[in-house]
Amino acid sequence: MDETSREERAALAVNKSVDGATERKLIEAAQDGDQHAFGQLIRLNQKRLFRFVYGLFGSFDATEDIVQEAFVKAYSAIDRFDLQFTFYPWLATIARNLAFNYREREQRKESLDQLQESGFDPQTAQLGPFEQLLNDEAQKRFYQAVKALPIKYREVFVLRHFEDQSYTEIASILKIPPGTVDSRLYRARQLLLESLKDLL
Amino acid sequence: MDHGYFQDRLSAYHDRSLTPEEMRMVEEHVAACAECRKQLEMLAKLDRLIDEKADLTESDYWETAAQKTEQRLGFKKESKITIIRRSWTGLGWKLAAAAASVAALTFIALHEGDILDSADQRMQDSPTVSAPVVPDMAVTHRADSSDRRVHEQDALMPEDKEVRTDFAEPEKPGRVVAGKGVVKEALVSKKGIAAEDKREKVEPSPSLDAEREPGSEPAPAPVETVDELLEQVEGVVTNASGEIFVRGGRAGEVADIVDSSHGRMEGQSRAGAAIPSATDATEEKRDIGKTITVTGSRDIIERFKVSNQVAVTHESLETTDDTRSLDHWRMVRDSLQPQIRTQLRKKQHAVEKSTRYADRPPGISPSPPPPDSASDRQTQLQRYLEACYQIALQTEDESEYDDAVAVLTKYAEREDTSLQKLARRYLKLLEDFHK
Repeated sequence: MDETSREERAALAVNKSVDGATERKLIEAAQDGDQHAFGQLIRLNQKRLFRFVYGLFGSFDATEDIVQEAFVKAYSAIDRFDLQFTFYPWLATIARNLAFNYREREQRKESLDQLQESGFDPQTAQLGPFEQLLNDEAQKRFYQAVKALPIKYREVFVLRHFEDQSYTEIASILKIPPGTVDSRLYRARQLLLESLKDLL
Repeated sequence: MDHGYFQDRLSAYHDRSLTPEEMRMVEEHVAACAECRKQLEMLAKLDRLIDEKADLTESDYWETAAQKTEQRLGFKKESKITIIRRSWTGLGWKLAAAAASVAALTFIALHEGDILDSADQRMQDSPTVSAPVVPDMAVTHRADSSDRRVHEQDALMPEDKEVRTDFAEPEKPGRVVAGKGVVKEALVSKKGIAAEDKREKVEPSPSLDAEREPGSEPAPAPVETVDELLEQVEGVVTNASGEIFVRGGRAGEVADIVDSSHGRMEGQSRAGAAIPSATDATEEKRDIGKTITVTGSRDIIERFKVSNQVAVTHESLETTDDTRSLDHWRMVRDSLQPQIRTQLRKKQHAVEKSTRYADRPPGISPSPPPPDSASDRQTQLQRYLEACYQIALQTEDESEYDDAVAVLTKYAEREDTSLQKLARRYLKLLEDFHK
C-alpha cells in the first residue's frame, strides 16, 4: 500500500462525514459563537479523536477526559483557527499535546508498576469499557493486540495507521530520528502480525 | 548486503518511505527473495485488517459523549440555528431557485352525501381529477368573522410543540411560497367517509363511490360549514381575519406555510366536477370547496395529508414563478423598517421613562400601550420578518442577503417569543433551502 493511496483513504475517511466546504462553514459559524455549529464539529470529529487518544493511552477514562479537554481547548481557541487548514489535524495536535502532558504528569506521580496497573500498561490486554465501542470479536482482538504493544511501538503505530502521519512527521512529533520511526514501526508490525496471524 | 538488511527495510519499503536508491535496491532483492515477498504480502494483509477493524462502532455513546462535552462548554440545551450560507456561484444559485417548487395541496371538502352523489354524476362524465392548480385564480375566502372561532396566538403554540406560521398576505391571497414539494390536487372527504381516501395516493380516482365501502352509508356529517370542518381538522386554525393556518410542524421541524383561499371552483375546471361557486361559504353551505396551499418538504406534505385525511388523486411536480417579486418584498421591508425602528425607539424611551420614574406611585407610571397597537406591531414585525426571509431567498446581492439574515438572526436570538420562533423557522427554511 503506497503513501498516496493511504492519504486518499484518509481523505475519504474524513469526507464521508463532511466535505471541506461544510466544515469551513461550521468553523466560521463556531467562530461567530454558534454553539450548535461547534456541537456538530464535536460530533464529526470525536470518534476519530477518541480512537487516536485511546491508541496512545490504552485507558478509557483518560481518553474520555483528554478528548473532552481537547474540544474545550479547541473551542476557546477557535477564533484563531486558520480556515485554510482542516480542522481535525489541528484538533488532534491539541489532543496529542494534552495526552503527552497528561502522561508525563502521571508518570511523575506514579511508579511504573502503578502505571501498569492503572491502564497504561502496554502488556495488559483488557479493554474494559472500550469494548462497548467495538463491533465484533475480531475487532476486540485487534484492539487488544494494539493495546498490548509496548508504548514506544504503539505510539508510532497509532500515528502512522490511525493518523496517517508520514515518517518525518512522526519523527518530529515524538522527537526521535526518522530511522527510529522506521525500526519501531517495523517492530510494531511484527508484533501485530504475530498476535493477529489467525485473522490475516 | 545480506537478507537481514533488506528484511529490516521491508516495513519502510511497504510505506514507500525509503530513498529512491534504497527503494530500487529493495525492489531488486524482493524480486529474487520469496521470503521477503511473503513478508510484504503479510504487511498488506495487516493494512487491510487495520482498515477493517480500526473504525469504532456507531453507538449511543458518541451522542452522550458529545452532550457531556457541550455541557462542559456551557452550551445551552437548545441549540442555535446554523445557517449554511448559500453558494454564490451564479449558475448553482439559479438552478437552485429554478428547482424550488411549490407544494400546493388542494382539496375539496365534500359536505353531504348528495354532494358526493352529484359529484359522482359529474365524475362519470370526466373521471380524471387532475386539473392543474392555479393558486392565483382562487380568491380569498373572507367569511364573516363571527362564523369563525378566533384562536389566540398563544393557543397555537403550546409549549414548543408547534410553530405558527401566520404570515399570509391579506391583499393577495392564494399566494404560494416557494419551497420544495409538489402540486397536488386532492380530494378530502369529511370524517367518517375518508377512510379509503386516505390510502389513495397518486392514481386518479375513477369514482368517488368506489372509494366508499360497498353498502355502507356515509357517517353523519359532523360539520355543517367549512369552518366547522376546519375547526375539527387537526392542525387547522383560523384567525380573526378569516385566514386559515395549517400547523403540521413540531419543535425543530419545518412547519407548514399555508395560504388559504376559497372558491372559484368553477374557474378551476375540476375535471368537469363543476362545483358551484362557493365564493361565500357562509351562504353556500351545501357546496363546500376549499383550496389550501401547503408549502413544505415532501415529508411535511405527507404528514399533512395523513393528519388531515387528505386523499391525493393527482400529483405533479411543478416549478413556479408564482412567488412575489423581490421588489415586492423590498418594498414591504422598506415600508416597515422606519415604523419598526420608530417603535423600537419608542419602546426604549418608554423603558427609560418607566425606569426613571420607577419610584413614583403606581397611578403615575406610564400606562401600557393599548392591546390593539401591540397586536399591530406584532403583525408588522411578522411581515417584516417574512419580507427578510423572502429577500434572503430571492436576492442575488450578497450584502442584501447578509442583512436580511442578520435581521432574522437578531430576532431568532431574542428571548422566547413568537417572533423568535418565527425568525428561527425562517432561518431553518433558508438552511434547508440551501441544502
